[in-house]
Amino acid sequence: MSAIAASASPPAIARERARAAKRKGRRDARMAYLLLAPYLVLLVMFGLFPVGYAFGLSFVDTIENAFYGLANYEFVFNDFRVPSAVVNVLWFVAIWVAMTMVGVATLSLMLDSIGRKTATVLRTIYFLPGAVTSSAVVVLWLFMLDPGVSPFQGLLHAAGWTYSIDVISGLGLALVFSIMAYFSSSGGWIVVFGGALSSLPTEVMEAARIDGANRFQLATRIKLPMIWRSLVLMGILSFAAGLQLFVEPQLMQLAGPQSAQNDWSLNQMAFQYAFRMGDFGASAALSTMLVGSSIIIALVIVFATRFYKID
Amino acid sequence: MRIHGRGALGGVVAGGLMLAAGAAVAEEITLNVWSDPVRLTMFDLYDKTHDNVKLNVTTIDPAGLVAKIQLGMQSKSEVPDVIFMNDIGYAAQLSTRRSNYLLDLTGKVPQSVLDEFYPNANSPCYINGKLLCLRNDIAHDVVWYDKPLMESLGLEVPTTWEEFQALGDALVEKGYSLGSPIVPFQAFLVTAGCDMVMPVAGKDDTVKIDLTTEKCLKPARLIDHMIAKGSLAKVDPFDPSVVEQVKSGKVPLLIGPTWFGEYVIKPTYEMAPGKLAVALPLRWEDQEQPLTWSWGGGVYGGWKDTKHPEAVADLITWMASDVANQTNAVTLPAHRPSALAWGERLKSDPFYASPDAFDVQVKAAEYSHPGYTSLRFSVEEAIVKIVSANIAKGGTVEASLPALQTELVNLAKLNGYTVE
Repeated sequence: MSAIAASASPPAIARERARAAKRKGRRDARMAYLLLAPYLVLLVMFGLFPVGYAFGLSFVDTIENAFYGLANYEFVFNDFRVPSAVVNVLWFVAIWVAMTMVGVATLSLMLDSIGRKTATVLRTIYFLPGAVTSSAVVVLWLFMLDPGVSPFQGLLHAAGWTYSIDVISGLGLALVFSIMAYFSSSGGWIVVFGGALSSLPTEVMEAARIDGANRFQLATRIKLPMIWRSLVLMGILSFAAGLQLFVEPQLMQLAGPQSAQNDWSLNQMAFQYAFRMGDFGASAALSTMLVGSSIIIALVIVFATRFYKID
Repeated sequence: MRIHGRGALGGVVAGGLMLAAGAAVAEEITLNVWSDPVRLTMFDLYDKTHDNVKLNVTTIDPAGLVAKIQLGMQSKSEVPDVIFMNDIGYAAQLSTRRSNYLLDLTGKVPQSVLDEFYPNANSPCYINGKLLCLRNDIAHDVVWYDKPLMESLGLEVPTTWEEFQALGDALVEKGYSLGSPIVPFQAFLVTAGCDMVMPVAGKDDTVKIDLTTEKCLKPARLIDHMIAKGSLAKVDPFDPSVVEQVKSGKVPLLIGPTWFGEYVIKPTYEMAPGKLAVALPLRWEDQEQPLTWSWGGGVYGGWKDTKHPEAVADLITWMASDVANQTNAVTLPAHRPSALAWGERLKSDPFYASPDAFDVQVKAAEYSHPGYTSLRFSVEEAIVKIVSANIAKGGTVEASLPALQTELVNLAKLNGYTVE
């Protein structure tokens, strides 16, 4: 402002400059929207539209195509399997999110404090299971948890487990699914946090080191507070993904008929409503409630942690 | 071949109007078929041998069949005219108000053909008194045993469940066992007539569930006793530990469906030729004859809104009961004349220890459980959820029955059944 005020330019030129700047700004904005457009189109097509469609469907009887009021919601609430599925999913989310937050943060910080080359190699190795589709990871784990064929046979036998059902029952399904999900998703996050940590200002690290901070103190007192926002973001995303648990329990039948879990998670119930019972309305009602709770919980976390507030 | 048909008609008719009508009759119709990979050659054979019908066959992953039909009907896009269902439960799942797919075949399949099926073979297809499908193959449980091994151990093949249990006790001491109780145990639990979700005759959408009777407790105790003794494994027949035991010759006798001989004992258990023999299913001492459950057996169904219901019924009937077609089927045909033609090859098969291997299997078909029907929910899944989970924690089948009863009653009500 002071620069403009101090300049001797006549007001017309100043106006012209301001207009040019505005035009450029508008051009930039237009360019930004243009680049964003493909994403926005996909978001509307595969994100917002299905959610809106499901929301509408949840009030409809799909056979008569008539308004059905809250009957679909009532049906879901009266399904005796829903409460146990809620408990199952909450256990899973609690264990998995905790595991992810602690595990990913610990591994990322440890990787950041060792030699760059070794860290890159290890990071790639951690990422590998994530590069495999989660369904394949589940199948791999089913083998690893079967004392008959597992490479960790000795360990499983030592725990007194003879069959895979012993292992699964011993560990509990929530923990088994958490382990499976952790290995298929944590690698990607470790890579993301590798990037986040390496972009931290080096002068801060230097200063801390000069002040006598050792690697552990550097990690817990300096780096961790600087990446906590990203950790919260990971927590929110993991939470939302966790509520939608489907692949892991659905594939349990591959371990044999005695391991099949067809109504363990809420998403499996939504799948059963739609594709076994043909009740798309009830399926939409359950899905709407799932999305609703995800959004509410994410908002609470965002506001409670002042996630978007700029320091 | 289509040209041939038209030519013949052309010779008969004179007037232009008549010609048009004639052409319409000979017009080839196209039926959309969703098949599993195994049934492809059978549908192809129909296509080749029938001039007036062209089949547009799509191969579908059997496990995703119901989901795909639900989607097709919901989005009003392609819905097949004829389907093969590899799970008998699909018939009930595809004939509800919400997923009303199946064509009523009552009166569309000749009674003389229906009479040629094995007893109860079409039980899964009669839903609320209507015939909604035709059975392709039967898969009732029989007793499979290693003849030379049983002889060298000096043991008799049991005919009753009581003898089976005693045989298990005797074998365990010698380091042998009797395989798997076909987890999730339903096949064993219903053998004494337990009312484990049985349709009530004459009452639509009504099932009987009562697991408190001796008819249920007796087989539950048998399983518990044998698992505790170690004469039965608590896992399914494909579990690596069971496969290993049978392969190493430690399982001289086991109970399994008719397809076990060709598709499990031969390839998976790798039994040497000249050893395998078959015996009739077991009965309880107080039963006059056995009551044997099944594992599998597919069915054919049609679409209720098809443009060609007669052609659909004809295709389904042919698939399930054409002898020339079924002779080469993969599994034991449900249609008796087809089965007899099919079984010829088994009689000279050196894999079996005795030439009666096939005769015993079809004799056993007479004892098929009438309650092996199509339900909208899976009783097996409920048993897995309640009983298998308890067994894994060291519990018993008998102690799990009350919880199973609650689960089954809840499931039945949720799926729109009246429970008696």
